[in-house]
Order: sequence, then C-alpha cells, then structure tokens
Amino acid sequence: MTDSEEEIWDEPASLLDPKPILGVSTEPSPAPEPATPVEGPEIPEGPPMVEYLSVNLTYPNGQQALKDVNLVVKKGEFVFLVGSTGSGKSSLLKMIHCELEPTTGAVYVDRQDLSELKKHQIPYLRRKLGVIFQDFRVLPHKTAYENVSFALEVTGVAHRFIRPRVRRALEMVNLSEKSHRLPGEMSGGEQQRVAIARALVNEPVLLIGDEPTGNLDPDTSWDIMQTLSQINASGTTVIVATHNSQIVDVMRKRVLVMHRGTILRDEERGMYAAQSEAKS
Amino acid sequence: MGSVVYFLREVLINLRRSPLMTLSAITTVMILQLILGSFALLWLNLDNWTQAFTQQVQVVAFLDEDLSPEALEKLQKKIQTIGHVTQVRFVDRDEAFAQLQKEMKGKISLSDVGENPLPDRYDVRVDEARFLAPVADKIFKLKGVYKVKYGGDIAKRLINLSSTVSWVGGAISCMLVLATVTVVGNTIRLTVFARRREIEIMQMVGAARWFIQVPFVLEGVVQSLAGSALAIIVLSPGYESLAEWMSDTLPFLPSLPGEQLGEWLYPLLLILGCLVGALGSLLSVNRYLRI
Repeated sequence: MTDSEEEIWDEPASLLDPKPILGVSTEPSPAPEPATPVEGPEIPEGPPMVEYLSVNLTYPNGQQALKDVNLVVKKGEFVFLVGSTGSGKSSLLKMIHCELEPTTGAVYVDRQDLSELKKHQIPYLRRKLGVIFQDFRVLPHKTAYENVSFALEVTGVAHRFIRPRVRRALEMVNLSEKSHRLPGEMSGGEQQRVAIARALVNEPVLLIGDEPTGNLDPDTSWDIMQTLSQINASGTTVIVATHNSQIVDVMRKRVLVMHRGTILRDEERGMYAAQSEAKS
Repeated sequence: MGSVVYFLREVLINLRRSPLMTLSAITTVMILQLILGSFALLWLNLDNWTQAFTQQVQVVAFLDEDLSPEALEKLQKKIQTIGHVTQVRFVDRDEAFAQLQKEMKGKISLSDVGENPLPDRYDVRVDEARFLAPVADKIFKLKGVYKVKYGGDIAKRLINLSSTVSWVGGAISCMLVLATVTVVGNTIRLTVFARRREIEIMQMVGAARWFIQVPFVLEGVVQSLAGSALAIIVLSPGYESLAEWMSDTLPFLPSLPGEQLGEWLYPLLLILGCLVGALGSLLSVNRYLRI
C-alpha cells in the first residue's frame, strides 16, 4: 500500500471500537428525543431500488475507492451508510446520481443499468432522485420558495404546476411560514430543510443524503433525521451517509459500515458500532 | 413558453448583474467588428475596381487629325483583322469629351479648356488581357495611328493587389473572429464562474444540458449582437462619407454604394457576431458542465 492510499484509508476507529473519530463524538447528544432505541418499521420486501454488482472504483491517480462492492437497497428502505472519512461512502452515493462511474461492475437504480444511460439521459434519472449535502447548497440570493421552485423551473415543469408543488414541499419540511426568507436569514437547520424541500419537490423515488447533518447541532440534526424518516414512511427510499452515531443508534435502521472501500458490516436495525464491540 | 420566459429573465439578470463586464465585452466586439468590417469594405472595393478595370481594359488607338472617312473605314477593317481583337469602336473627339465630362461629373466644360483637346480614337477590345501588348504593337504600326495606350500593366497590378488584400484580409479576419470568440468566451466564463454553484445545483436536480447552456449562449449572442450593431452604426455613415470623398477626389475609382452594401454586408456582420458570440459562450459554459 502506498502512502497516499494510507491517507485515504483512515482507520475507522469508532466503527471497529467505540472511540471518537475525526472530531465526531460518540458521546450521546444532549437533546434527541426519544433517547432510547426505537423499533424501526419492518424492512420492506420490495423490488430493488439500488443495486451494486461487483463494483470497483479506481481514481485516475491509482487510488482504489471501492473494492468489489455488492449491495442491494430495496424500495422503501431507510439505510444509514457509516464509515470514516475516505471509506468510500460518498463515492458509493455519487455513483447513484452518475457523478462517478464504476471502473468495473454495474450499478442499477430503479432497475436501470446506469452504464447504459446516454449522457443526455442522465438529467432524467436525476429528476427521480433527491440529493442533500452537508453544506446545504442553497442559493443565497434566492428565497426559500425560489430555491425550491428553481428545481422545477430548470427541469421545464409548466409554470402552473410549480406553485402548488413548492408549497407542498415547503409544508412537508415545516417551512411554509418562512418561504420568503433568504438563506442568510435562516438557521443552518432551516437551510437544510430548504435543501430537503428542493430534493423532494420533484417527488423522487430515492433520497440521498451525503452527511446532511454534518454541519448541524444535535437538536437540529435530530429534527432533520425525523423529517427524513417521515419522508421514508411515505414510501421514498432514503440512503444517508452520516457520522452521527447517536442518531444511527436511536433510529435503528439498516446500517452499512464501509471500511477501505468495502462493506464491512450490513445489519438490519443496526447500530453505529458493531453490537459486540459496543457492549465490550 | 415557461422556458422562454425563464431564459429571457436569466439573460436580463446576468447582464444587469455584471454591467461593467457586459460593457467591456460589447465594446471589444464593436472594435473587432469595426476592423473586420473595414477590411471587408476595403477588399470589396478593391475587388470592384479590379473587376471594373479588367472589364474595361482595351487598347486605345489615338488617330491622326483629319483622317478621311475612307481612311478611317480602312483603318478599322485592318484593326479588325488583327488576331484576338473582339471589338472595334470608333469614338470621335466630341463623344470622347462628353465621356470625360461625365466621368468628371460635369466639373469640366469646353469653356475651361478653350477647344476640345481630345483626338478621335478607336477603342479596341481583345479576348484576353495578355494579348493587349502585341495587339497594341500591331495597331501602332498602322498608318493614321499616332499613339496607343492600354491598361494591361495596371490591371495586372490591381489583380495582384486585390489578391494580396484577400489573403491578408482573410487571415486578419480569421484572427479577429478568433479574438471575438475568445473575448466573448472569457466574459461568459467569468459569468459562468460566478454562477458555478447554480449550475452545479441545476445539474443535480436534473436540468438538461441544453437548458443550462441556453441562457449563457443567449447572453453571449446579445453582447455580440450589441457590439456588432454599434460597429455598423459607426461603420455605415463612416463608409458613406469616405465613399463620397473618394468620388470627389478620385472619380476614376468608383466606390460601391453604401446602400448596396447595407443590403448584405451589415446583416452578414450581425449574423457573424451572433454565431461568434454563441460559439464563445458555448465553449465557456461547456468547461463547467461535467456531465
């Protein structure tokens, strides 16, 4: 292994043992309610929403980001993707919206082989997906309403459909009252909810979150996860990469642990750290 | 319809958001189009002069005074028998003077010169310019001819000059087009860079590639169109004045009328401006579109 590979493969300390990693504390956050683990809904037995078949990803500089990943996420599932920085979580998610292509192997989204998609078809796939990020990515000069309607305008949705759909999306994230505020006049949590509303407004079949609570305090993080959970309850598949161990442990959804580009652990109603390790 | 409104709104917002950048792009395109247009006008006029001149090249045989009608008829027959002669036309001294007056737009009259100084002459056309010299030699040897003139050498020089201007003008035009593409492209690139986050979000939510490109391309077209229009506003009256001055000062070099050029040259400059603006913008925006 080269030095640069060593840099990518940081030891996922808290996943293998429950010590803090990368400044993310495994100590319980003060606020989240309920504080005790809750039983999640039954894992749906639906058709696959996302499939990774023997996926490998090697970057042009030779660093291997993903190694022989095989994974199926079913329709309606809520999946946490955990692992240290550089473990391959973001790379795995980026493949879903075609920001990255596997070097070998295949990725299917909603039964569509992404390698067969032509360049001009990629936007149409993305309209079926909602993506949220740690840094919100809202436009500072547009109001909450405009940020959400922007997603419809630029995908050519007829003007008469835009207003009701934007209102509904803002209602879902409890931002109806603040729809005319600019991001600068909103808290981080509210800005992330704007981003969620924007991701939802196209009524996606799959919502992807790449560390959506990474910049938020524990209370707000919990709110955001509750919102995502509600969205999942309405039938949308949700995949969230996160470092927030407490939320993962409380919500008890399916947990995929990534380590050095492979899936180290895959547990239904799992926890952030391996249960045997957590007990020890 | 919604998309059209969106595109127009985006173009207006972008133009308003960076007025100085827009102004600099428009001014630069205007200057480049002015140079391009000036070259086009120079080349077109040179070509016009060359064509007019080569069509008119002929051997002019000035005749001795007081030749009898029989002698004139005999001389004409002899000239007609010379090889490569296609047309022989007698021009008497009065007609020659009337022609001169016409060319000088009435600025000369018989009273100015006392009496008509021009001799009778034959205008002799040949089938190819290269035969002007041998035909002129043969005519000069005929009795009753005291002098011959032909513009073969000037015609050759004009053709060479026109060809040189075509090549040089073509090369400079290509460079100017490239410069315009670069200028408009760079201006749009700054706009695109300022809006890279917006473009990223557009791609993320599934905006089609063309949908992202169109507002930037339109912005480039608007800037180039404005620059080209301003260039034409300067070029058109400028050329008219120059052409008028030329006809006064050098009446033997007829300039192309401005109205005739306006019918196709100026629209062509506008179309070229649009294409160049669109190309420059497209190249710039594509650099930021990863997929």
